[in-house]
Order: sequence, then C-alpha cells, then structure tokens
Amino acid sequence: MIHHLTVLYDERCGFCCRCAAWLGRQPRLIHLECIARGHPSVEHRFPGLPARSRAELTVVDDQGGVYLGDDAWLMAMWALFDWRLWSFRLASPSLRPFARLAFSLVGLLRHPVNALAGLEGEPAPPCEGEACRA
Amino acid sequence: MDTELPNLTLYAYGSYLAITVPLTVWVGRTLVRNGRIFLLDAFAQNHELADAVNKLLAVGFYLINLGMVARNIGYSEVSDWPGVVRYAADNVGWAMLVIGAMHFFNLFVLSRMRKNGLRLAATPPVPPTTTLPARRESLA
Repeated sequence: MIHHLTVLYDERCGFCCRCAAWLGRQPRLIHLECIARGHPSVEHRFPGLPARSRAELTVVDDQGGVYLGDDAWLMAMWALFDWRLWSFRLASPSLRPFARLAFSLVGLLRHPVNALAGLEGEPAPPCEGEACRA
Repeated sequence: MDTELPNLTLYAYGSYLAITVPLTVWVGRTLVRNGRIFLLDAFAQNHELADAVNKLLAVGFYLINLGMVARNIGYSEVSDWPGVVRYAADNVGWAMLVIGAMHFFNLFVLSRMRKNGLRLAATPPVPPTTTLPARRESLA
C-alpha cells in the first residue's frame, strides 16, 4: 500500500509552481507533498533519481517507485479525492494514448505558456520549500 | 331474467390489490436483501452506513410503488367476470412494468455506487516507471 507521494516539480517554471500550489489545495486521499526538483534536499532524499526527472514531472512513492511524465500525472491525480476516478479512466488502454499525448504537450508547452502568461521570471519561486509543502 | 347487472367492482379492486401489494413488498425485500452487498462495497465495508442507505432506498421504493398502486385504482364499474380479469390484468400489468423499471434503475444505481467505491479503494492506475537504486538493492 502506498501512503505517501512526493511530487517533484520544475521550480524554474511559473506554471508548474502554480500547478503544485493547486495540488496542495486539493482534497487528498493519501499524503501528498510537493517539492521543487531543484531543492537541495531532493538528491539527498531520493538518491539515484533518473536524469529524465529534471525535464519531466516526477512523482516518488514511499516504496521507492519513481513515476515520470504521464505516469507522474496519473499518480498525482490518483492521490486526489476528486480526480482518482479520472486517473483510472485515463490509464485505461483506450484513453491512455490521448492522456500521454496531452500530458507530454503540457510538459513541452510549459515554457511558451509561461512566456505568454507572463509567469516566467521567478528564479526563486514563492512556493519553493516549506511554503509549498502540502 | 335478472336485468340488474351484478356489481363486481370490489372483486376487481380486491384482486388487483391482493396481487400488487405483496408483489411490491416481495420486490422491495429482494432489493434490500441483495442490495446490501453492493452497498458494502460502495461504502468500503462500512456496515452501518450501508444498512442506513439500504433502508432509505427501500423507503423510497415502497413510497413510489405503493403510491402508484393506490393512484392506479381509478374509477371503474365492473359488472362481469371477464371485466374483473381485464381490470386486474391491466392494472397489475402496469404496476409490474413500473416496479420492474424501478428495480432495474435501482440495480443500475447500486452497481454504479459499488464500482465507484471499489475504484476509490483500488491500487494505483500505473506501475512505477522505475525504482530508486537504493530500493532495488534492498529488494535484491
């Protein structure tokens, strides 16, 4: 049984910070913690994280399982009361390809979105560290 | 020859009620008895909550069905025995159709609740993409 998830988000991306803050406000079914990927404690707590975790959304469970990209999105949804059923729907074979496409698009478009919405330019994001911990 | 027709309306009403009321009670009891296991899954084996919801569902079922049965008696003058059979068959048929529809609706609702409840309790939708090396070593 998984009781705890840690979400590692890209703190250089304003959009991602907002998403992490939103995540922290949602009603949860299991314990969920958001930490900036660049936070010094991350490498210490999770030694040997794959290199892909720097570029993609990453979720680590309390049993050492690492979820990257769309797996990470689905796991984050799974932790939320209002979204758990959607995580199963999107993980079903028929919807999985669309979910994968949508989530990778979000991942790729996050920098243009930041530029368009004026969310960039937060080298020290307000939600980094303790403030963002859910 | 007797010109006055016998009034058999009471027989028609009586046979109608004698069939529909026990039928409603029987279907209601079946629902309560067999719906419980669905509700237990829907509410994560919480017996008290499942029994309470079961009872509330049953009350709604009885109110709607008995209300419909009562409303359906209508005003008819029945004066021959075929008329009694026709009246009873017509009204019992309607009652059965409505009870059947309610029964399937109840089943649909119960199975949906059960499915949602089970899904909420289920394991993660995807396996880990990979595992941390430290974890892999401890497993090996």
